[in-house]
Amino acid sequence: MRLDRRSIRAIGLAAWGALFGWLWLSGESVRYLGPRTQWVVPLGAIGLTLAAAGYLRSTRDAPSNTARPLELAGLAALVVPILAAATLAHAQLGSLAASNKLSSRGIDPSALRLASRDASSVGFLQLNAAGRDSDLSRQLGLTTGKPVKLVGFVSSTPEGYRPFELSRFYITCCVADAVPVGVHVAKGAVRHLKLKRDDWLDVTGVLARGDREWIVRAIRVQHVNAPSNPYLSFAT
Amino acid sequence: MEQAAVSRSAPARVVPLWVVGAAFWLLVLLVVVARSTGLAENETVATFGVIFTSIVVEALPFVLLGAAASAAIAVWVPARVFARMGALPAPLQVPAAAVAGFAMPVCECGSVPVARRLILRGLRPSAGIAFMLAAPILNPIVLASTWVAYGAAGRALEMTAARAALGLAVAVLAGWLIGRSGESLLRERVEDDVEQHAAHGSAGRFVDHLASDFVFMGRFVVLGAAVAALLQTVAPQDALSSVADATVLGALALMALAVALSLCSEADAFVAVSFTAFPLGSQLAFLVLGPVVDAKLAVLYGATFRRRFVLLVLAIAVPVALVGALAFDAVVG
Repeated sequence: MRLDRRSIRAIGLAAWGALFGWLWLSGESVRYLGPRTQWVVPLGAIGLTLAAAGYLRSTRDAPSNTARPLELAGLAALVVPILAAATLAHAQLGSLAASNKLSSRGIDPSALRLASRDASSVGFLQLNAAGRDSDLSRQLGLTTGKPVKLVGFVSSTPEGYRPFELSRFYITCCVADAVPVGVHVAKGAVRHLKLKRDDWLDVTGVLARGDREWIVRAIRVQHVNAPSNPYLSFAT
Repeated sequence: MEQAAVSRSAPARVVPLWVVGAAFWLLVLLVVVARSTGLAENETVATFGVIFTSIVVEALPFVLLGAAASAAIAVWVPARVFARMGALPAPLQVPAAAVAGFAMPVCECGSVPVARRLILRGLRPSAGIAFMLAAPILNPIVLASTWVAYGAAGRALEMTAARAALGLAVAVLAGWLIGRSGESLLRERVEDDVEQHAAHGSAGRFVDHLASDFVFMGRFVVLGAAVAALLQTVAPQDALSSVADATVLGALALMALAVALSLCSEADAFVAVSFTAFPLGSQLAFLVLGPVVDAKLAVLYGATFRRRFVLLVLAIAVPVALVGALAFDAVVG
């Protein structure tokens, strides 16, 4: 039995159908796509599976054309992202991506369609946007001493007792457009805690006023596992 | 298809099934070894891998939709329709094809196989290019998302209208200038000749065309995504924000970012609106250039069209988008 062109195409379609199916059923698609584009996952799973089955059925009696090395190379290229997804399962963007992404100087989170003005809870986006906007601070009820709770990763290397930056990525479409939004956390009562970049933390503290920003003065800091969906969305 | 004829006369290399099985288990072993060595914990590898996979996962369903539309055109649209369209004078055909992009609700990855099929069926290359470049900007989903994204900033009408107008101008101009020589722009594909004989019945031929286009385009989307992910992993983007205040450099910087990010045109407006340090005109340049040419598309164009096509599109689209951005800032900004 030999591998022909039909098999190459069927393998390509079926492999991708399987990956989309896995992303869909396992919920792992949130590691790659934002809520606006989640619909492409079931579309890919169903569409590619049907295409693979239909293709094999429609060409079962057709004469076989043997595959050329170029087509095998094409199949290999198609398989690479599947291998990457399998190897990097549970991986997510971290401090390296946060340092590379266009952030504070190029992006103003307050200009996004953020839910800041009617947010029921205070998160990274609200604190970041309200730091430079006193009206927004008033609307959100942000005052010195207000208790807050944040879960995020350490995006800047904390040195000694100096405040460190806790961040989350916000995505719109896919991870390629992720925007890091960070809040400075003063170690306060937990100044002896050992931290390193990319540690995921659950921080409970109170708000304090910094230079054109809200700072969280930590009362309790706990190391936690990264959440199953490590990204937040501007839409939520 | 000369190339296809050569392929039939020369004996093709055959791969036994045991080699495929061995390759599969080798790949499984590779994944297991990579995971056990902690490769996923390396932040450079993880950043590259997550962005790379993310771009491919988002793009491939659109490639599938584009391949389906392309296959439907190949199988079910009668040749006389294209004969009539092909007979129209160029000054009418090119803008009409660009405006027809309004009826194609897929982003840029899906429009390439459709444009290729339209050219193969007899549409002027200039009209096919105009359609391909216009569809990712003019389609209703993209215009609606631009409207919504800029609605909160009170600039919905200006930005949506300017994006549509400038996108249309780039598409028509690029189509007219690149395709005016009349020579074939498409690269030949071995599959084009063989696939027509592989399946029987219109449904069978539809699936055959779809599979051929998907597998062909898919591999180049993968390569393009790798380039885009590499750019995002190694190049710090904050360097761009230092020129945010400079009108011309700011627009060029955001256009460079659009090429590197390779975002889907249906969601890029939500990203563009966040670049508040840049003037609106620069954001407009980002929104116009990104769907026309980016890192992922450059590879796809290179596989579909002849050499220099990407450079020609860039040479036309960048100045037009820049002039449009400056004019927009002068009038609206």
